[in-house]
Amino acid sequence: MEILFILIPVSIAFVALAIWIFGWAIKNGQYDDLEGPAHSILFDDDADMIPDRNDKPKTKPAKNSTKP
Amino acid sequence: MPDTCYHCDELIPRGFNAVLTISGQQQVFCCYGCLAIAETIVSGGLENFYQHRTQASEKPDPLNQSQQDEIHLYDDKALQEDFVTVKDGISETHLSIGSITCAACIWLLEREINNIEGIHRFTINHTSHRAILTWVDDECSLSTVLLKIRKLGYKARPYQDDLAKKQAQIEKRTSIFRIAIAGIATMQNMMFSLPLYLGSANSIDPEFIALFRWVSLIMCTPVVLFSAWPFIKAGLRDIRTRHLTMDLPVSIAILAAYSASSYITLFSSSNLESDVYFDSVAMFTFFLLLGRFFEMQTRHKHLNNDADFNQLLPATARVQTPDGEISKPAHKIEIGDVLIIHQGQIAPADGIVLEGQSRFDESALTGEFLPISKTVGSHINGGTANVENTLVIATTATPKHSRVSAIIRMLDQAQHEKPQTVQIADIVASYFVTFVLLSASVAGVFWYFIEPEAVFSTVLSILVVTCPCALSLATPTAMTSVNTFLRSKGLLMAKGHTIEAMNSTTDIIFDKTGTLTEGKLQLSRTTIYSGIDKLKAQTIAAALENHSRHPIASAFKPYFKEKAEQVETTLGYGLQGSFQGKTYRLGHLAFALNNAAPKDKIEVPLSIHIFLSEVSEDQQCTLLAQFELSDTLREESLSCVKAFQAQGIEVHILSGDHLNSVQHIADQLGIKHIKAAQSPEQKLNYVRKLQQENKEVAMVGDGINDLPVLSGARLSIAMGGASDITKLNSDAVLLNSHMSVLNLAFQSANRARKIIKQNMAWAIAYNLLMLPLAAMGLVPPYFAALGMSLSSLVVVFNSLRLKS
Repeated sequence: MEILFILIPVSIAFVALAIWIFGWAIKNGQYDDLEGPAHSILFDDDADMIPDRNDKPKTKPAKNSTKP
Repeated sequence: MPDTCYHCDELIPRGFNAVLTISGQQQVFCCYGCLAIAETIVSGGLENFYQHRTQASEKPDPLNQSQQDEIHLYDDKALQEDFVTVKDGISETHLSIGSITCAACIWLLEREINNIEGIHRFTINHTSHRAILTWVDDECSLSTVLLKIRKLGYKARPYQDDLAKKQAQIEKRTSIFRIAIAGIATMQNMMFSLPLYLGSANSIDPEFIALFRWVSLIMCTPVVLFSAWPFIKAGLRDIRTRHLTMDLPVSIAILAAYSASSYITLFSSSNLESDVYFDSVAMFTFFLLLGRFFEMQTRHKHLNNDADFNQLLPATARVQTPDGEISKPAHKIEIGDVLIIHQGQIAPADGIVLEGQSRFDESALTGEFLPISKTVGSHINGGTANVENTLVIATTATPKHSRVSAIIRMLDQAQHEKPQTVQIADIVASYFVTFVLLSASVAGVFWYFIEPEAVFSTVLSILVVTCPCALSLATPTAMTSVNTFLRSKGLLMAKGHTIEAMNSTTDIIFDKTGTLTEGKLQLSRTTIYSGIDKLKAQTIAAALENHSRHPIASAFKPYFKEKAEQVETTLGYGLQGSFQGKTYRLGHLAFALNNAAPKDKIEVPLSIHIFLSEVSEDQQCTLLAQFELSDTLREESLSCVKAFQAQGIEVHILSGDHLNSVQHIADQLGIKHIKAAQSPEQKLNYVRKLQQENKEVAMVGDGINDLPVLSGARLSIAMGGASDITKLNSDAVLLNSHMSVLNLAFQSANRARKIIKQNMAWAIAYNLLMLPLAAMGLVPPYFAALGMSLSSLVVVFNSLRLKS
C-alpha cells in the first residue's frame, strides 16, 4: 500500500493541472456562453441528408457547421 | 386559413392577402414586412427556422430611407475608429442584436451572416445577445451585414464595452472559477473521506489516516480561501454593519469546520476518534455557490439582453459645416453645433430650432403619442423623433447632458433612496444566528468547567448541527418555485424582494398609456354623413393614410386594401388624393371641407377626430365620414383593477397625458385617484408623498418618463413593451400583455409567504430540537449529517408545491 504515498501526490498534480486548464479556458471566454452550444447542436441542417425527406431538392447542401 | 401571421403571429388585417409557399405549404402573412423576411429566409434555404423556433418572431419595423442612410454611415472610417479594431486586414467589432426571441433566431442569423462573402466569423452569445463580427473590409462592408440583419427582421448596432460591462464579465468568470474549484475539491475530498468513514470497520494504519487527512486539507484550503470568499466577505460585512444575514452562520460554519478539522489534522493523534469535515466544507460551499450562480444567471438573462440596446439617442448625427453636411459620432457633438434632423430621424441632442417647421414624436419622453409641432425657436429634446420634415437645430446640450440622460441620472438617485424591503429570512436569521452563537458560547463555558477537553468538540458539533442548511434553503427554494411558475405565466421577477414587496403593497399606481391602455391609437367610432358605406369610407381613409407617417395613420392600417394615387400632404392639416378615380380629402374639419361651412351638424368632443370628404370637379367638398380615434383599454384592465380593489389595494393613475383622456379611462375603470399631465419629477414626488404616509407603493409603467418613479417605488413592474432601460431597472417585467397575470402574481406571493413561513418554522424547530442534544454531546456526526439532509429535503419538497 506504500504506493499510495506516490500515487496520491501524482493525482494532486493532475488535479492542479486540471484546475489550471480550467482557469485558462475560463479566461479565454469558453464559458461566457453557457447556453449556445446546447441549442446549436440541435440546429444542424440534416434535413436534406435524411433519405425519406428527399421529396424535393433543397437549395444547397449544408455548410459544414453553424460556427466556422 | 389561419387568421394570424406565420412570421410574427399577429392578427392579419381584414382583406390583406400575402401568401408564400414554405416547405410545401401555403402560409399567410400580416404585412409585407413579414412576407419579405420570410422570403429572405426561404431564399437562403433556411426555412427550418420556422420548425426550430419556440416563439413567434417580432413584427418588423419597415426600414425607411433615412434609417438605411444611417446604417450606411457606419461604413465611415472615421466613425469606425470608435468601435472597430483592424488587425492583419481583418476588422473586428462587437454588435448588439435586438428582437431575438429564441435560440432559432441566433441559428438563423449566424447561418445567414456567415454566408455573406468576406465574413470571417460571426457568433452570437445566447445570454447577452451580443455578437462578435470579424470581416475582411475589402470584400464586404459593415453596412452590408447590418442591413442583412435588418432584412431578417432583427436590429443591430455596434456597441462599445464600458467599464461596468467589463467588470460584470470578470465577476461572472470568477464565479464560474470558484464553482469549478469547489466542485473539483468536493469530488477529491469524497474520495479521501470514504476510507475514513468506513475505516472503523476495517482498521486502517495510522499513517494512511494522516495521509488522507493531509490530502483533504490541501484540497480544501483553496475552497475556503478562494471559493468561499464571497460568503466570508459578506459575513465580515454583517459584523461591521451589525445586521446579521445568513452569510454569517454560513461563513462561521465553513471556517469553524475547516479550522477544527485542520487542528485535528495538524496536532491530533491519527486515530478515528476525532472526525474531520473537509468533505462537508467543500460540498457545502459548492452547493451554495451553485445556487447563487443560478440566481445570478436568471437575473441577468432576460434583463441584460437588450441592456445596451437602448437606442434613446442615435449613435451618429448629421452636422452642418461650411463644407456641407457631414456625419459625426454623436458623442463628439459640442454645444453650438448645427445639426440637421431629417424626417424619421431621432434628435441626437437637445437644441433650438433654427430653420424649418415640423412635428416631433415625444412619446419616449412624455408618453404623449400625438406629435408636437415645432417651429423656429422651439426646444427639441434629444431622443424624440422628427415625424414630418427636415429641421436645422443649434445644439444647446451635448447628448450626455440632454434631458433623456438627465432622467436616467435621476433614476440613480431615486434608486438610492428606494425603501428597502427587509426580507423575513434576514430577520429570522439575525435572531437565529444570535441565538446559536450565544448557546454555543454558553455550552462552551459550561463544558469548560465540567470537562475542559470536550469544549472544542461540543462547540463544533453545535455549530455543525445547527448549520443553517434548511434555514438558508427556506426562502430561495420557495422563491425559485414561485418565480418559475410566474415566468411560465409571463411575469419575470428580476429582484429578490419582489415577492415580499407584493405582500405588503397597499397602493398600486398605473401609468395610463401602454399599461391600462394599448398605447396606440385605434379607430373607435365611425360616423357616416352622406349615405356612404361605412366599410368603403374606412377603406378610402386607409388608402390615403397609407402615404402618411403620422401616428394617426397606423390606426387605419387594419383597413388597408388598395393604394391611393396622387396623394399630397398638407403638413399639419391633412391629406388629399385620388382613389378609384375620385378625389378625397382627409384631415381636420376645416381642411376636409376646404374651409367651407359644414352642412350637417357636427359634434366634436375632446378626443381625436378626423374627417373624410369627397372633392367634386368644381372643388366642392362633401363630408362623407367622421372617424373618432382613441387609445383603447386593454381587455383585462377592468378585471385587473377590480381584483386589486377587492383585495383592498388602492388603485391610482399617474399619467403624462391630458386630464381629459385620463379621466375618460379612469371613469371606465372606476379609479378615483388620478393625476394627469405629470412630469417625471412630479410623478416621483407623488410616490414619495404616498410613502411618507406610510403607504407601500407598487408602480406599473412602461415609458422612459416612468423611469424615476419606477425606481422610487417600493415595487416596480415594467410592461413587456417598455423601453429596455425601463425593463432593466424594474423589479419585475410583464412579458405579455395579460394584466390578469399581475393579480395572479400577488396571489402567488401570498402563498409563497406562507410556504416560506412553514419552511422556517420547520427548520427552526428541527434545529431547536437538535441543539440541546448536541450541547449534551449526544449527537454522533453521521446522524447530524443525515438529519440535516432530511430536513433540507423537507424544505425543498414543501417549496415545490408552489409550482402547481
